[in-house]
Amino acid sequence: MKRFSGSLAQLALFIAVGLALPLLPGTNFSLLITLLLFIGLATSWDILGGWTGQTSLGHAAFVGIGAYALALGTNRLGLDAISAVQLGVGVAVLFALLWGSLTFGLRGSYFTLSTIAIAEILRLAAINEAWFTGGSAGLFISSLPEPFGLDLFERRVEYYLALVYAASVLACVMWFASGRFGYEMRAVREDEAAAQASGINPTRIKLRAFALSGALTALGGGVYGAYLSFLDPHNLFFLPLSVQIALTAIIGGRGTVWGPALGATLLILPAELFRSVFAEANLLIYGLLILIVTLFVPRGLIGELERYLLRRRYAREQG
Amino acid sequence: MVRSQVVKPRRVNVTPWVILFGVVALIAARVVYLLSTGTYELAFFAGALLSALQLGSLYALIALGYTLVYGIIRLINFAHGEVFMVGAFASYFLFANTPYALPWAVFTAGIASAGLMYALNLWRGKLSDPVVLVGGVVGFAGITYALSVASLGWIWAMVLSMLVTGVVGILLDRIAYRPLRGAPRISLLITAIAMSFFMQNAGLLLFTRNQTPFRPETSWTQFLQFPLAGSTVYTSRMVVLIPLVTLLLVTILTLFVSRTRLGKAMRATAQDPEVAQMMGVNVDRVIATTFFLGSVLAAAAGVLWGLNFGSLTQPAVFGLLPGLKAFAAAVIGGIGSLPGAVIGGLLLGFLENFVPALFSGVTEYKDTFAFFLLIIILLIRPSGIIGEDLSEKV
Repeated sequence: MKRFSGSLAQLALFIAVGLALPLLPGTNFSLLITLLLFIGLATSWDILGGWTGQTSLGHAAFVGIGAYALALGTNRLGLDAISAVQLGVGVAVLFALLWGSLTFGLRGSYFTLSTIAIAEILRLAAINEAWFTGGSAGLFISSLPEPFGLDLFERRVEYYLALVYAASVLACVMWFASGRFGYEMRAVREDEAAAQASGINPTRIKLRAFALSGALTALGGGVYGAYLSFLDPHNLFFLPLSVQIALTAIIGGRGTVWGPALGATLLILPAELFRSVFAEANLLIYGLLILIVTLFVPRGLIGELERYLLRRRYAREQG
Repeated sequence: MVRSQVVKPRRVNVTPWVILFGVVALIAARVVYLLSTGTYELAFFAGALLSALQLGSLYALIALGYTLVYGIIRLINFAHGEVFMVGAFASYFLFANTPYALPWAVFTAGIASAGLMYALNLWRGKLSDPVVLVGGVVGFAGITYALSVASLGWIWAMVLSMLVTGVVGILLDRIAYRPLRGAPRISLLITAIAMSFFMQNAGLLLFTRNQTPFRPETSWTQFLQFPLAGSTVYTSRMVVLIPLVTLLLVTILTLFVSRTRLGKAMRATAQDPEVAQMMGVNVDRVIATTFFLGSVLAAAAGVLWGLNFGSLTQPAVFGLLPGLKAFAAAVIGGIGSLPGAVIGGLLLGFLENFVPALFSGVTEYKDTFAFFLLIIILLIRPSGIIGEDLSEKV
């Protein structure tokens, strides 16, 4: 069965559009960077949340780890930018493995609760350990090393970084979606007992998905950190960011390749648009929008589309 | 939805009790140690214990809302923290203003009396019942008069705010949850989050200040001191008021659930919604009642919270952390159980206000205690301290 799961041609089209956009006059780089970052973050979240079916509301922790690793690694430990991001990814993997082995015994909404709790603990640690993290006042990244002579504070550079990030996360998901790992994850999502009966170790698959998801999220966190250049623990580790990442993926359609990307496009663009039109009330409308989509499109946009296509094909085959 | 009920032989898990006993022993030993070295006097601990009771009661009131809703429809009402916020700000709106201009008075009274009628309607069963109609008309006239002649005292503001917030709770269910009965849980989670986004930002449009002073005219916020064992305990009169109001509300709630017809219907729905429906219970009405009750308690907590701290933070964050913590308290106590929510709330208050008094090094981390305890409880006993076994069958 051919799934509506994307192909290299689609990815190529995505990259081509991404490369072409800055050539247009009057490009709003901040908006596009935010958009690309959220495409990457939501797709990373979806590896655990959609493909493996473990709804996490703690992914902001990984964004925070990535961003803080960049800032602290370069400014306190004297690393170059690339090693600092690598450090962040490494820490995120270790953290995800530890976190997962602690909490994967919990099912469904209990797992979700534990993710909220752990991210919250991490946030308060980032606020309280001011000697290391800058504390509640936040952390300014005043200077960054320039890998390959690239100025990481320049919006255009950040844009291409974000594009590379989003495209590689999408490529990663595409690569495993049709492979063995993708099937294993879906098997765990649909029925853990049945998956176990067919020789899959559910905990191992979940741990692997969590580590991958966390690593890619931390990578995005590094780019996000360079883009923000001011790290606020009240934002980076906090529940609203986790919720935003998760919602983006869910509304687009979880467990699909392009769902999270579509969700990001549909959520980030209006949110930014409303910000300029409605000023204070932008998130008000954002909330309403989410409500309406969930009430009328419960499977997410790509999910409903897939279902529609499947039904049509079924009807045709049945004559 | 079929929920399989497997009858298992009752097996007592001793681990949580061992941990509980260990923690209590540790705390007792520390108290004795600090007393014996003369670092602190008994009065100091009494004061800390009282303030723990004060905060714990507030958490308990909020946690009851989570546990009520979860007990009936197995839904984690993520927007409950925002309901609590609405309660606090609605009461501020009611008492802080000078006498209302007539249109405003009519408008506010209209909303409040609609809420009153809805509540009476839940009780009497039909809208055309004389009690509902008379109650609505009298309520409308009375509230209009009260608002347009003088600004309200905090007690009336609290009562009205509880009514209004109760209606907000019913609307929340009506808009965001009822259309999704039978849908996957994740959809309910998303609409809950969407509603809390909406309420946070609607609040932000009305109250943009970082701190809204919350100081109605009352003597309850004054200091209170009394002698104990040769020294003096310093506290405020809130330490009497908050547990008292909590006790009153919890008693009313318990009586309602255990004695009234609607309470019986609630218990039946909690056990099995389908069978309850077959027995003639109007399940939608029961769920609306549940949201009403939970929101009323949250509003009371909101007003007391405001009185206790003297100001409200901005609406976007006001309900977030208290809501999360109270929710943790509900799970810790055993979600779905009313005594569990109270015990969880009090325990959390104790951890946050008493334990830092003993171990000064952990003060900065007291906001994490709720979450640490939540994870520990989830791992060793997901049903909570006294909850029934609700281990999820996904």
